[in-house]
Amino acid sequence: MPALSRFVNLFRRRSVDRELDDELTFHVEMLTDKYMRQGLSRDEAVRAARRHAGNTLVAKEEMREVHIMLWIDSLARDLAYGARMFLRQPGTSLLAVLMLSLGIGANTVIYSLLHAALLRPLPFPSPDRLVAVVDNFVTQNQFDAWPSVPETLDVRAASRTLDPVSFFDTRDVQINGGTEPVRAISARIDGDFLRTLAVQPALGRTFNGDDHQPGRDRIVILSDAFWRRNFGADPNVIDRTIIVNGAPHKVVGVLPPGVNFDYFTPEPIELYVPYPMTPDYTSRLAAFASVRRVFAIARIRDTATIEQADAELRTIGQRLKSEHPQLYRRGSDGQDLGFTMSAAPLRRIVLGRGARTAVLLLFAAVGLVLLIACANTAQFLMARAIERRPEVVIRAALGAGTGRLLRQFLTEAFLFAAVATALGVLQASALVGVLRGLIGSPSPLLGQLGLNVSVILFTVIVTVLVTVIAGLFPALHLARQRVVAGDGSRLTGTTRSRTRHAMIAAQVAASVVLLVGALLVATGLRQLQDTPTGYDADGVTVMRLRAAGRPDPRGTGGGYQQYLQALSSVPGLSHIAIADGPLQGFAGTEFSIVGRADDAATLSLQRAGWAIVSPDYFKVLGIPLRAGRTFTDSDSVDAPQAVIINDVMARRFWPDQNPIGQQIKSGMGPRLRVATIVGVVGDVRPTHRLEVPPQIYTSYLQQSEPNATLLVKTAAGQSAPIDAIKQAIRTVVPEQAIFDIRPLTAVIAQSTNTPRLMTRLLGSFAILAVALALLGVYTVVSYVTARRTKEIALRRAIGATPNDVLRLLGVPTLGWTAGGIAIGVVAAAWLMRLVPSAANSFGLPEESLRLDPPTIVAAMTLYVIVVCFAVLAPAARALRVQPASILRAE
Amino acid sequence: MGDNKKDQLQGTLDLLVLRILSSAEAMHGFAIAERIEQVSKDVLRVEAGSLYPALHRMTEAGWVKSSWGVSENNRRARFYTITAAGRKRLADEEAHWSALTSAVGRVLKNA
Repeated sequence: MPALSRFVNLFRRRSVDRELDDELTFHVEMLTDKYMRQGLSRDEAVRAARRHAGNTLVAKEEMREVHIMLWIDSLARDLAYGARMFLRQPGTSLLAVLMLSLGIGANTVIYSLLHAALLRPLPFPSPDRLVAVVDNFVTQNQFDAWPSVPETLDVRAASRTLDPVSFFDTRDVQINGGTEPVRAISARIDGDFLRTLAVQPALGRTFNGDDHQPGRDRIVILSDAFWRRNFGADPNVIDRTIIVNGAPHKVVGVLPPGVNFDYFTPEPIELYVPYPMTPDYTSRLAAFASVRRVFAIARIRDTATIEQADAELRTIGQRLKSEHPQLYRRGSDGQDLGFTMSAAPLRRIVLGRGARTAVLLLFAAVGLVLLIACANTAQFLMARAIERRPEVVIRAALGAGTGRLLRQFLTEAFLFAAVATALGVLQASALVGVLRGLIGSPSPLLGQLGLNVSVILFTVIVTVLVTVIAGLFPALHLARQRVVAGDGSRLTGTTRSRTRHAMIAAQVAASVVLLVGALLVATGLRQLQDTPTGYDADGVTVMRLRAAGRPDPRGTGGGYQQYLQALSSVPGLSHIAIADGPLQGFAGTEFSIVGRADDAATLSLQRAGWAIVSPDYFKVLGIPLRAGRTFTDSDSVDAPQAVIINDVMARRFWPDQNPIGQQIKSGMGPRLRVATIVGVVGDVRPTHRLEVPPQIYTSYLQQSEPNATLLVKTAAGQSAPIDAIKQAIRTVVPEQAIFDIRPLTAVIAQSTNTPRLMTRLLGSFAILAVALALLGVYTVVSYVTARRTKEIALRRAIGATPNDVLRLLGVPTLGWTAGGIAIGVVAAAWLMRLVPSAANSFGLPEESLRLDPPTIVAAMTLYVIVVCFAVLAPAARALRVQPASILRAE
Repeated sequence: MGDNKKDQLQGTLDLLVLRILSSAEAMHGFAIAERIEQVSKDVLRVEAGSLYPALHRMTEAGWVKSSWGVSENNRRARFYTITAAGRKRLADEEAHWSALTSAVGRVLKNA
C-alpha cells in the first residue's frame, strides 16, 4: 500500500524521536531489572538506573570537556559549521546580520553621545570637586538659577566647605583694529576664577585683586585660539595692546590650549577681562542687584563632601533670606518666593536637566532596539539550528550535555554578533559625524562626541551581551526539551512555537512603544511647525550688534535712531527696525495694572513677554495693528512712557474695556516703570510655544539695551545688501561690529533644532524596531510553515482549501502579533505619564505632546497590514507548491 | 575530516560493537552493552549516551541494520544485526587496531 507508506513517511521525523525514546526507555528498564535481580527494591532500582544513565552521560561529557585539544577542535568545528550555515542562505543571513548591525551601530552612536554628555570627565583637574552655586525659588518652580554677585560674595565670606568660590559672566565685545570690526565673546571673570578651575596661564599672569578695582588699566587675558589667530602665537604678546570696544586693552596673559568654559556661549570665549568690582555690581542696593546674575563656581575642600557643601549653602541661603527679606518676596502681600541656595554638580548645570533626560531617553530607546535585535538573532539561530540540524534535536533527546549545546550556540551567536559588530562600528563611525552635524552645538561637552576607547569598550560589551542572549536562549530552549523528553513525555511542535510566538509578541510590543513615542514627538513637532506664527518671516534678515561708540547717558536709543536714519538711504530695504531680539521669548516679566490688586496671587497670573522695539518693528514682521497706534520717534526718552500690548493681553485683562489709555507697571530692575497703553497689535507666537502669552512692547527710545538686533525687510526674492548696511552704520560709528547675519527663517528653523533631532533619532529607532519585529514575525512564520510543508500538502490533497491553510498557518501568529501591538499601546500609554518632564528635553511645549488617537489608530492599522504580509507571504509560498510533488518527493 | 581523537574514541566503540554483533544473532542495545562489560570483565563500561548515538551513526553508515522485535522478557526492543559492509569495516578496524597496538607495544618494550 504505497499511499499508506507515504502517510507514514510524513511523520517520519516525529517517529524517529519516538523510537529513540522507546529505545532509551527499554534500556533503563533493562537496567532496572538487572539491579532488582541484584537485590534492590523496585524504587531503588529505578532510581539507580536513571541515575546511572544520567550520571554516565554527564561524566562522559565532562571527560570530553577536559580535553583542551578536543575543546579547540570542537570550537573550530563549531565556527566552521557556523560559517557554513551562514553561507548556506547568504541572502537571509546577510539581512539578519545587517539588521543586528544597525542595532549595534545605533547603540554605539547613542552611547558615544551619552559618554560625551554624562560620563566623560570635564577637562579640569579633579572635576568632581567642582560645583555650581545655584539659587532656587521653590514657589516659582525655578531651580538651578544663577545667583547674584552679592549672594556669591556672601557665600565666599561664609563658607567653610567651599574654597575657592568664584564667578563669571559673558558678553559680546568688539575687537577693532583689523580690516573690519569683529565681534568676540568675552568673559568677565572674578580673581579666583582660574584658580577655581585649577588652570594656570601658559604665558603671563592671572588677575589679582587690584585688577578688579575701578580706575585701573584695562587688561585682558587671551584664549589660546585667539592668540594663535591674531598674534601668530607670538611669545612676546604680553604687554601688547588690542582695541576692545574702542578702548586699548593690555594683554597680561594667554591661557593654555584646551582650557575653556564655553558651556553657555554660542561660540568659544576668546577674551577674559576682570569683573568690575564696583558698587554698581556688588551692592544689593544697585539697580541690577537682583537682575544681573553670574555663574558661580566653587571647589569643595578636600575635607568636605558635596552633601556638606549643599547643607552649608542652605544655611547661608536661609540667613540671606532673613537678612534681606525684601529681595526674596514679591507682591503687595509679600509672598515668600521659597528661596534656597544649593551646591549642584557642575556637570548637571553645564549640561542642563533637559539634555540629560533626552540623552537617557535616547539611550533607553536604542537599548530597546538592541533587545529586539537580540531576540531576532536568537529566533534566527534557533530556526536555522532546528531546520538544518535534526541531529541537534536527536542529540539533545539522547542527552548530549547542555554545556556542549550551549557552546555550539554561543559560538554561532558570537560569529553572528562579531560580524554585526564590525559592520555596526563602521556605520557608527560614519553616523557619529552626522549626529555631530545635526546637533550643531558648539558646546565643549558634545564637541567631544566620537568613537573613543570607552565607546569601543561599550560596543564590545554589547557584542558579548548579544552573543549571550542570542545564543543562550536557543540552547536553553533545546536543553529544556531534552529534559521534557527524558521524562518520557512527547516533544511537540506547540511548546516550541508558543515560546517563539511569545517572543515575537514581546518584540512587536517593544517596537510599538518606540513607534508611539516617535509619533508623539513627530506630531508635536508638526503641530509646532503648523501653528500660525502671526508674522511673516519671508524676506526678513536679522543681524546683531552691540552698541559701540561713546556711552550716552540718555541710553542707547539715540545711537540706534541714528543707525536707522542712516539705513533709510540704503536702497532695496522696504522696512528697517531695531529690537532687543528678533522674536519674542517666554513670558517672563511680571506686570501689574495700575488701580488693580497687586498681591502675589494676582501677579502670578500676570506674566508677559517684554520687548524693546523701534516703530517699524511691526511693519518688518507684518504684525497688524488692532487698535490705537504703533510707536513713533515722538515716544522718546522725555515723552510719557508708552507701551503696546498684544491681542491676547487686551482680551484677557480688559475683556469689556478699551485697554488704550490704561496704565501698567512692568519691567525688571532699572526698567521698571509705569506706562500708558497706546496701541494693541496682533498676536505673535513664540517659536517654542503653541499658545500666545500676553506681550508688552516698549519703545527703543525709552529703554537702554546695548545688545540689539537689526531687522531689515527686502522685497520678495531679494537678498539683503549686507555690505551697504554695514557701510551705512559705520558712517555713524566706524567701529561698530555687525554679526550673526541670518535670514529670520533660519533663526526660526534653529529654534526647532532639538525637537527635529529627537524626531529624527526616535523615528529612525522606531523604524528600525518595527523592521526588526517584522523580520522576527517573518522568520517565525517561515520556519513554522517550512516544518509543516508536508502536512499542508496532505491537507490540500484531502480537500482543504487555500483559505483553510492560510487560516491554519496565519491565525496563531496574527493573534500573538495583535496581542503584542495591544500590549505595546498600553505600555506606551502608561509611559506617557512621563511626558510633562520629557517635553522640555525634546524642546517641545508640553501642550504639543498629546497622543492623537486617529494617528495612533492609523499607524497601528498600517502595522497590522504589514504584519499580515509578513505572515501571509511565507504561508502563501507554501500554497504555491503542488501538493503531489511534495508527497511524491517522500 | 576524521583523523582526530574524538573520531578515534568513537572508532574504538564502533570496533567493539561490530565485533560483538559479528559473532551473534540480532542483539538489542542493552545486550550489547552487557556483553561488552561481561567479556571485558567489567573493565569497559558502555553508557547509553554513547552507545545509542554510535548505533544510529552506524545504521546511517550502513554497517548495521535494525528492526523492532520482542525481547527475551517480552518487551518491545530494537534489534541490531551486522551487514556485509559492517563486516568489511570490522576487518579494516581490526587490522588497524592490531597494527596500532603492536606498534604501541613495541614502543613500550623497546624504547
